[in-house]
Amino acid sequence: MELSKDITLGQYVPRDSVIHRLDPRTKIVLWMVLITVLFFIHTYTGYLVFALFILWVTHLAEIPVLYALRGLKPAIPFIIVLFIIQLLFSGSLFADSPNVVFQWGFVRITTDAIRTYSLIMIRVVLLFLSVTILTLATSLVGLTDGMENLLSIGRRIGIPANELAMVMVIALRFVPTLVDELEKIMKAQMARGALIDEGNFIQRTKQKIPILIPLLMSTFRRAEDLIVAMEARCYRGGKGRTKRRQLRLTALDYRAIGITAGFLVFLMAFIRLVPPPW
Amino acid sequence: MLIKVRGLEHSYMEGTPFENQVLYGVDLDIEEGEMVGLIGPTQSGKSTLIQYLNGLFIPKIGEVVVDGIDVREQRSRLRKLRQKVGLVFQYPEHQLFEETVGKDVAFGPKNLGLPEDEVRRRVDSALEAVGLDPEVFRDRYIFALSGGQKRRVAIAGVLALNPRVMIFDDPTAGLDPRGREEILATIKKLHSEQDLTVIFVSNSLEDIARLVDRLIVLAQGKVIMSGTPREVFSQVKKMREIGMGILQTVDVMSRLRDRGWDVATTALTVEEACDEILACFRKKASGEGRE
Amino acid sequence: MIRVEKVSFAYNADSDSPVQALREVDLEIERGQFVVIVGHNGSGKSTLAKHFNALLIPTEGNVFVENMNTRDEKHIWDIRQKVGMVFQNPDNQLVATVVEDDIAFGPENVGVPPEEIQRRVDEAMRIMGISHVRDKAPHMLSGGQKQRVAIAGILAMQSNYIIMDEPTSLLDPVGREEVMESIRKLRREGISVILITHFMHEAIEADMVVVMDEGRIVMKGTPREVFGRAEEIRALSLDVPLVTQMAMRLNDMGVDIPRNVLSVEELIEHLC
Repeated sequence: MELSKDITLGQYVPRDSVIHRLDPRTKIVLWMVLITVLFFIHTYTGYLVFALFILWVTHLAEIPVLYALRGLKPAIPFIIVLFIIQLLFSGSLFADSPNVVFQWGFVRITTDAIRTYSLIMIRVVLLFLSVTILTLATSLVGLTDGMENLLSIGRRIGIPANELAMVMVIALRFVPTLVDELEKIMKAQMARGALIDEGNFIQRTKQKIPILIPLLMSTFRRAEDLIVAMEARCYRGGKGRTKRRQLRLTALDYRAIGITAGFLVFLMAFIRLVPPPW
Repeated sequence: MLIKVRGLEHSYMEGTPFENQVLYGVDLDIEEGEMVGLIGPTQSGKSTLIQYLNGLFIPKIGEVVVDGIDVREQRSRLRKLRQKVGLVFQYPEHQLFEETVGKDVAFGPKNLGLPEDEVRRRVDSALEAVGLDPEVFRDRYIFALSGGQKRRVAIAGVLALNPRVMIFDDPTAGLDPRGREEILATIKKLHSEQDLTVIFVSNSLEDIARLVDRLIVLAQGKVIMSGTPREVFSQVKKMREIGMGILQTVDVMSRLRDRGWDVATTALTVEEACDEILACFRKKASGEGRE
Repeated sequence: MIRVEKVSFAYNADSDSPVQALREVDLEIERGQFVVIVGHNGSGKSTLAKHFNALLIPTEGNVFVENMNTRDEKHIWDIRQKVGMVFQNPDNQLVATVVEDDIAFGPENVGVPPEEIQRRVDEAMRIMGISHVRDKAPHMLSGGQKQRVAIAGILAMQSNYIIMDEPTSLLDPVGREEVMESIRKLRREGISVILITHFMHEAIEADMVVVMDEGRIVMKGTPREVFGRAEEIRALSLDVPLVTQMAMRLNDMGVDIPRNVLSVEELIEHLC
């Protein structure tokens, strides 16, 4: 058993690609623009174009697509169940739709519903892929430096940029550590004959307790250690803090901004060409 | 043969950009009733190897047979294997989760589906085996125990499965000298009184030298030495090369030898080393007397 | 100098059941000294160490770091900059995701200008011999390397004192030796090291060994003085270094050798 294999979030694949070399601020802003746009796409074609773009970026970042997608694996059953539930119980939302595929009691499945929810699922997958690529190709340091720098625009209106960035660094820094910890605890309980993920719902929930309690305890223990260590190293929030790394935009960043802008114009043309489904 | 490992290989993060091979063809035999020490520098693959021995990993390349069970062929006997081979992880006390000592130790036997009175019997005998009086400790709250006591409760939790083999991964890590002695005495007692086969993984050469009959040295994912502690620790050069260091007594003796003393270099304890030095003094004295 | 004057400390001092951890402790540590504190878990050694950098404030008595009282809120950050701390578990003290950034964390916190930070980080990595792992993630390093990163982080803060709380207890023999070698380097740089440990042989190079039991300092002196009193040490169920044990046993057996030998080299010299 090896849990960490399926965790791609919070990992960083060190490469020297163009994507890696971009200023983190550029990546964060463009990424935010892209996922916003994602919510305005309502057609298969639109998603296809978007997916191709993301795949191209993945390729440029020299990250194996399969690896980027691996993090989805644990979520697949969840996504499928969600899809089915939505289909089954949303009949009333599409009461006007004439294209009924299947009807039994209150369950009324229409092609419009299938289309709508398929698109939502595709959106979830693309969203996940975009987030993953951003984190796989940007070091945590870059990510938080970028966030902090961007947020500091809002410092005048009281946004604690440094503190927020610190929270993010630590959360991400400890993801791999806690995954290892979880794996170790699960194994220890399995070595004591615990059955993980067998039996009915109540049994399964009960089986989680021997794992969750030690995990919580260990998280607290680590958090406590970390707080003391940070205090001992003079951490006192953002006040009077300097940064070793200074961010600077380069020609590469302007090119990336240009290309993304071009892509968006192209995409918007698509969205206007294909009318929204509802 | 109780445990047989042949050509075992292992990679972490297989099929990802982080792929990292840690075992490169391990061969290993452990007989019934042995007390074996497993040592090696960090990242030598020790922790990975022991997880194969109780079926937490299933071999992809190579073979692991424990008491006739080969999990590759008999997946259904995986639980049987885990019950036969008790694995005590590093910092086992961090895995305790029940309120009281008795309830936590009962977790294993309950998972085996044993009847209530058998569970109770097992809990009591496991507590006794680790030197905690069941009458006193059964209903104690775990948070009220000392570090060394918690660790012994965790060991009892594995013992209650009635395993034939116990594997301890660095059981004295982080303990003070007193706690260390307690745990080592407990392990020794388990081996001699309960007829358990014991595999003892440690970073402390001193502990290992005192405890085990046979030592297996792992380095870079391979078994590079195996033999009695005396045989292994006398390989001063090799031990230094792989970064394990050597026993201080061995260090003293081999330096005396370099100075022309006629001493054996393999003293494992202070007593042994001193006797050897004294014998050498006497020999010298009588030699000079004769001249 | 760090001066501890009649310090007592209780956890939960205000509650109904305070836990007395230190009782009237007096201690002086000079700039540049290497001090080792030994004792059982619960003897108060970690509690005492946390007083040196104002992580804990005495219930009674005072601690002065270069004449600044740790009670004085306005000195707290100056004190923590002067007195750095390395912990037992390297995984829980490294904050950043890249070695170089972790070393820069301290100097960034005290507001050192960026170019100066880079200079200090480079220097600290050079001294600790970790320049080649500068862009690695901490969790990819060995235990000994992680502890060296932690030490470098304090060097970059230009601390005068470094407290190490059982820094070797989770390491393999090589890692332990790496830490001991780092301590020697720190001494060469003129930095005081205050080492808390369970391994007696790590104390033999110290200027002063402090033995604690039940919140008190029960012995204090050079390693030779302290380990020469083996009976008292054993009464606390602690041990003297292995080499000292050998010398004592040989002495008992009638060999002409002093009872307070500390190092292997010394033992050999006496025997030959």
